[in-house]
Amino acid sequence: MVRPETRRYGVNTPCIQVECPGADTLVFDGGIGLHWLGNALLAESFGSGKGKAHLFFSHTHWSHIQGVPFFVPLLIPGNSIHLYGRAGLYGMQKVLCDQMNPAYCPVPDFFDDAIGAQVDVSELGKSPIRLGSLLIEYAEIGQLHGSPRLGYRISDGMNALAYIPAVEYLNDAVREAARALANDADLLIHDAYYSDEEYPTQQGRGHSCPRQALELAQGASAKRLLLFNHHPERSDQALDELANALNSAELPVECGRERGVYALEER
Amino acid sequence: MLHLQHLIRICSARLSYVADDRLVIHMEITFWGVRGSFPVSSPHCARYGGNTPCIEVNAQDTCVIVDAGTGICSLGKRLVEQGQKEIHLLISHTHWDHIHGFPHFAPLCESDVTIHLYALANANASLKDILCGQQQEPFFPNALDSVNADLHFTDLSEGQRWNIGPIDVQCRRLNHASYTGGFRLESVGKTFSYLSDLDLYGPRLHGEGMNTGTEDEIEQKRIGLQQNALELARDADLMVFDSFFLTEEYKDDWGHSKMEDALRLGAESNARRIAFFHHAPGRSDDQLDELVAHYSTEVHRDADLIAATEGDQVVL
Repeated sequence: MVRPETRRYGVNTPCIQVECPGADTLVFDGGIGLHWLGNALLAESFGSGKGKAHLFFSHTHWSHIQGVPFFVPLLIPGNSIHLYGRAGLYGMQKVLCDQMNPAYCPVPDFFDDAIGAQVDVSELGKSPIRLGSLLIEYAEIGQLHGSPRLGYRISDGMNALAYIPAVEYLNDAVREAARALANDADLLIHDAYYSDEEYPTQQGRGHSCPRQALELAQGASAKRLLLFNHHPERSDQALDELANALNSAELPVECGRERGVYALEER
Repeated sequence: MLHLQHLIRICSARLSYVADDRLVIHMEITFWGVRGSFPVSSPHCARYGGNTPCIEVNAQDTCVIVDAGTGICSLGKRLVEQGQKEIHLLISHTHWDHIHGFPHFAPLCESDVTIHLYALANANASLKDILCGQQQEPFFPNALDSVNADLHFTDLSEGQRWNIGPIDVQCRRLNHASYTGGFRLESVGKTFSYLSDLDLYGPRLHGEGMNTGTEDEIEQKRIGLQQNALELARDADLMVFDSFFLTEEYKDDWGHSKMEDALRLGAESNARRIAFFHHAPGRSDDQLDELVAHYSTEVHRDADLIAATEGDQVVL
């Protein structure tokens, strides 16, 4: 059964699409949601092998990459798909190729030049990425057992979106890096895996809670906060309550909802 | 949900004593995950369910689990609550949808639990290495080699037969990529057959090492794989079968069967009940209703046809 208590917000693992007029398709994280996005993209240029997409990973835990083998545009020759992330000692190329190992995965290996789309993988270093009029900045917001985690800031000169799906504020460096990404952002999408009550007993597991998301949003003067990376068992009602407890006219707070669309108004 | 499960368990335990004091052991089959490829949470599959393959088989106090898709997450919580100390997990093959629930299996955190894992041997890597590969950085924060439970891994040989408590278990290779096994579980004259994933009657052979040799040798392998499926399913009281494709969707390079193949094997093997399983991610509840109604008119004499439904229990 699809549990009725999680039906409104959904339980697919993280994947967000950022649409901007004239820009290539832009995606952040490759959880299961990526499969359904891929199917929607097939109706556009990706179905005929003319699509161009850029997919940025926050980190490489399963919930953020497990949809990649099922992203059908990768199997269609002519599409161009660029994958970006940082995997420290492991290396993004190796991590993503390991997922395709035939012991685990029956899908044709689209990293092979002869199969499917043109696929490029970039290990993110220090320089921001510029895609047309968009600037994509990123920063390491801590590591978990040696695996780096990135947060992103996407801006077009008018509006800015900050994406921080997995973070734990264990030191000031992480706090500063996150604040810089979220500075004056129109929308901050932020990890709220634990509730405020759960967090104290779950320290060190790499996630944060709504109160910490709100503190960052206020400290960075973000305009709007979207709680994200919900715990798999958090019910729709519990999510409503988390957001309602923090919501205010000065800083609207909602929980990210599957297939929800959030428009950034021109300033 | 939990209380209901317990009620069913208690009821059937009472029913298992018959008048002549002879203990009759039922097998109870519970579907925890029935979907193929990856978990689906959309409204189109709200009734049949979106978790990937996991089936619980209970006979007496013996708990055998078949496959570790995402369905195993909920099952694991219940096993911890009921204090199950000995768990046997059969893995048909190690494609993601059959193992990706395992890192979230709650009994792994219990120090007084023993988990026995079995899968058909893969010539390239042991089952232990394959599962450890899934469950370590940079993919997963808590490494499998540091969990509290005691784990025992068995790489099965083709055709291996052994006992788990009162259950006689047999594993045979099926026509699917890498190294894929099907299982036959028998207890006191009742038989449960598990055949997911396979392309039973397709033109291609999919498993590693299957396409080497002369044409005659390859043909012999094809016949052997079809014979394996037939032997696993023979006279089954419940046969769970890979019914991923509709006839018009079928692709011969994916390693999956069609619904009509389930009926054909059911007739050849004289299975008493057939369960469509490993439903395609996009297959809707309404479609499955219609397909079961349609194929029910074609099923062989005396047999039942169902589509496996998450949460449902079948008592043999």
